[in-house]
Amino acid sequence: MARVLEEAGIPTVQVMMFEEMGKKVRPPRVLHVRFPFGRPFGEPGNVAQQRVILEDALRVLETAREPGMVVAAPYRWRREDYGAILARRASTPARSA
Amino acid sequence: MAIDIRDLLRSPRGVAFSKIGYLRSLPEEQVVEFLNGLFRLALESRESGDWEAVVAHIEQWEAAAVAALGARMQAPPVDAVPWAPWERPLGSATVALITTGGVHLTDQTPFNFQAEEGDWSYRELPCDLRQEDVRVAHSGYDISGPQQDFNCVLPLHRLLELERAGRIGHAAGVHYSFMGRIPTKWAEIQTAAREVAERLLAAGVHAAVIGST
Repeated sequence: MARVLEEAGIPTVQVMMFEEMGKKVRPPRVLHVRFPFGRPFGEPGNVAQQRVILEDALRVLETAREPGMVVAAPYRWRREDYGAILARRASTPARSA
Repeated sequence: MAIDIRDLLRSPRGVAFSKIGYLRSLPEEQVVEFLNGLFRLALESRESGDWEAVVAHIEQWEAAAVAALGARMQAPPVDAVPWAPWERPLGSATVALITTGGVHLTDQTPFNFQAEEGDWSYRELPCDLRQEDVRVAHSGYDISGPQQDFNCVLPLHRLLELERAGRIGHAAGVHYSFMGRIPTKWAEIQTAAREVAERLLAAGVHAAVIGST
């Protein structure tokens, strides 16, 4: 589906948990998260986590240079402090990759 | 997360760890290894009161089982990866979200998740979507996530926050949901995706974030 949208001229980024399928299907831009299936953006109610993943997906959209690139998100499912990640981002004036 | 063992036995696909059913993709000796590990960890966890190790064990084996399944899955013939270059500042872009999680409004026809060949229709979701208006019709993953909070699969509230913060130009007025089970009807998938692409372009959307399930 990402490929069809891309062909129509709409840049896409796909958040995937199933790396094997990503390698087979090759969407144009992929953010790979090591989360349980069915929760690509994070846990229900976990606002900070969802925000971090969405921001990362948009970052991949902005910075990907190679079609088919898969960016692996480094986060752990439950033990990551997503609030701290957002706080760090808010205090960094220049965004780095 | 509390799991009632009766729910697990009755409808294993409707609760957490529903992918554990894919252990059937693995050879028997690996299933035995999973069960032995699970039993051992459960005994340890009962002593310590910390069930993290059990959760991690199940999640690891879920992933391994799904990987084995994935190795056998069909995919359409793939050559060059299509590419629409990203050229505008995010702060002036209109962004739409797409989910394959079977999300629909209460007054929309549910996806037919039991159809043998899948259901590749799509639903339009408004940007002022509320949790109470959402239903989830899908049998291929643990739907309890979006049933509690649709942002797990379609982070619309987060997108609107980014709009308010000026990080993106606009959240699109309309977002899209598919029900991504049985992805083998390539022609139907292509047709549906092309229709959605046309609607997105007509609505002035500059980019789409797709969440897999």
